[in-house]
Amino acid sequence: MPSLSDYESHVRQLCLARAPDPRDVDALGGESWRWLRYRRMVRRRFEETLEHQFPRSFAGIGEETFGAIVERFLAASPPRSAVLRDVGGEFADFFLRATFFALPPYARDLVRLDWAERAVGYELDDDASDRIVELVMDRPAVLCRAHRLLRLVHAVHRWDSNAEAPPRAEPAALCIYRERDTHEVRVLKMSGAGMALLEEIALGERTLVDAIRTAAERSDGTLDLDFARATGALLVELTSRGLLLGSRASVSKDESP
Amino acid sequence: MAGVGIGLRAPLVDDLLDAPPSELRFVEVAPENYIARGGRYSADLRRVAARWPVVAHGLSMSLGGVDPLDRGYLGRLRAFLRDIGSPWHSDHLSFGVVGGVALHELCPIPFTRAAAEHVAARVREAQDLLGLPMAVENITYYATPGAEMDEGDFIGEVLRSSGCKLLLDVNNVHVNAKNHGFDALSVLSKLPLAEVVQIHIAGHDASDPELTIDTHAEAISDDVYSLLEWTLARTGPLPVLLERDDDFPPWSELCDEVRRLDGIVQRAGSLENGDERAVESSSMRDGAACRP
Repeated sequence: MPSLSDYESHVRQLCLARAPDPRDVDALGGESWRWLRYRRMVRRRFEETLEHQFPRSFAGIGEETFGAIVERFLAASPPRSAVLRDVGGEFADFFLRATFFALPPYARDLVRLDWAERAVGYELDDDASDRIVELVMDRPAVLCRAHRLLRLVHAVHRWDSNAEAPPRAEPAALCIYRERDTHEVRVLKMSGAGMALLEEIALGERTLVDAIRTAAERSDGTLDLDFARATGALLVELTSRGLLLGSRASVSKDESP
Repeated sequence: MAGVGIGLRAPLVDDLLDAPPSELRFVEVAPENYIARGGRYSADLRRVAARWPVVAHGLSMSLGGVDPLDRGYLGRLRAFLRDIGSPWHSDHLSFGVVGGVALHELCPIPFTRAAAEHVAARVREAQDLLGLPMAVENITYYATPGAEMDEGDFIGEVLRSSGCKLLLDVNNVHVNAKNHGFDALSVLSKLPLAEVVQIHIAGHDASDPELTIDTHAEAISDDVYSLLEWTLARTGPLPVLLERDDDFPPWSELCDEVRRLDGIVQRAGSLENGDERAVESSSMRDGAACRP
């Protein structure tokens, strides 16, 4: 019998290597088919979890290729999170870092959107102790924690996985957020100026008036009455959706209220 | 808290809150599903905790592992346990984290003296960090790494050396007995039943002639009900937790299981109080082989 440390290392190797190494099986002793069951169970759990967490990616990339990428993930960058739901984040990081040949051009956007939706669903609730006041122009605005902003190259959010046509190459700016009352995750397609404003607010550094000004500059908009009206309507809608919470009680991020 | 509980799973929450069986006494949660998570899960837990006592049962402590315990996680777990008011925390006699890599499987620990000492030291450390008593659960094991003793002696050694309690999974005893050719009652007889603080019960998949799998996705088998009855007849009434994790049947079927389990717990209570009719009605009382 190997030491406890060696024994556990052999189990890990056997379960996560791309192919089972007979040396691991021999070192574990006993009936090899029993240890190979563990390999099957460990891998199946990860496969099922990732298929569940990345439904668009699974459909868009295809079962065989998706499975091959999961296999590579398990061997090259195995999960370190002790919480199963967080394995999807590790997989998304691996996917977006690695180079894969023969993947469709929209694959990265599929993975980014799938994980953004999951992460928003899992995100912590807003902290009731955060000091937030009614929305005012001269303080930074505050978005709820449960949101992600994504700029995509392909319109994967509109893609029907049952359709034969692949996602269209069409830039999309998305705000993914969780509704406060129903906990449902929603995807909002944003205009250029709207996305720029959300990005500026999310930075948490500028007062709302400065964020609006910067967003107008970034989106080549003119700060005229129409822009002000559109911005006002957007802020009202974001507030009604629970995405915009109000203004920070202090002007600077570091200032204690 | 003696009586029947159910494991909180997302697909069960609405039925549980809308039409709970009157026999239900507590709910069990896996902290990993709730720590650092908001939205529906935290809202559901608040609603459930407002109606029933909640007890925690973890998956990820890797008590048999050689990696250091994750103190950051244990700190968050301590806060969570305090919030829900769990009377103890339980986790499995297994390992799942190796060299920082999480396998997300309950892998078997060798039944050796060295491993028992190692596990006991980690249980003591975890109890100190959590500020709560711990219970360890016997797992289903499909392979047996080199063993110096049987499971009963191994568990006894861990409990004696760590001072922790036992969460007895009677379905795991049944599944192990089937897979390794043991007599389940002989295994149960060797366990330190006086140290049991909670019991788990679930269904298993016996469709593969090669290996019975502990799935928590089927109805409880009559054999496992009988093992529960045999156990409770010796321990007296305890918290009994129904685990159902997949292939959820209609809610009424789970309620029927809760009621049947409650009947067994009630009979154990009558037995403890010397009610001979309860002794008569207990199907596992006759036969010397059944006695510890």
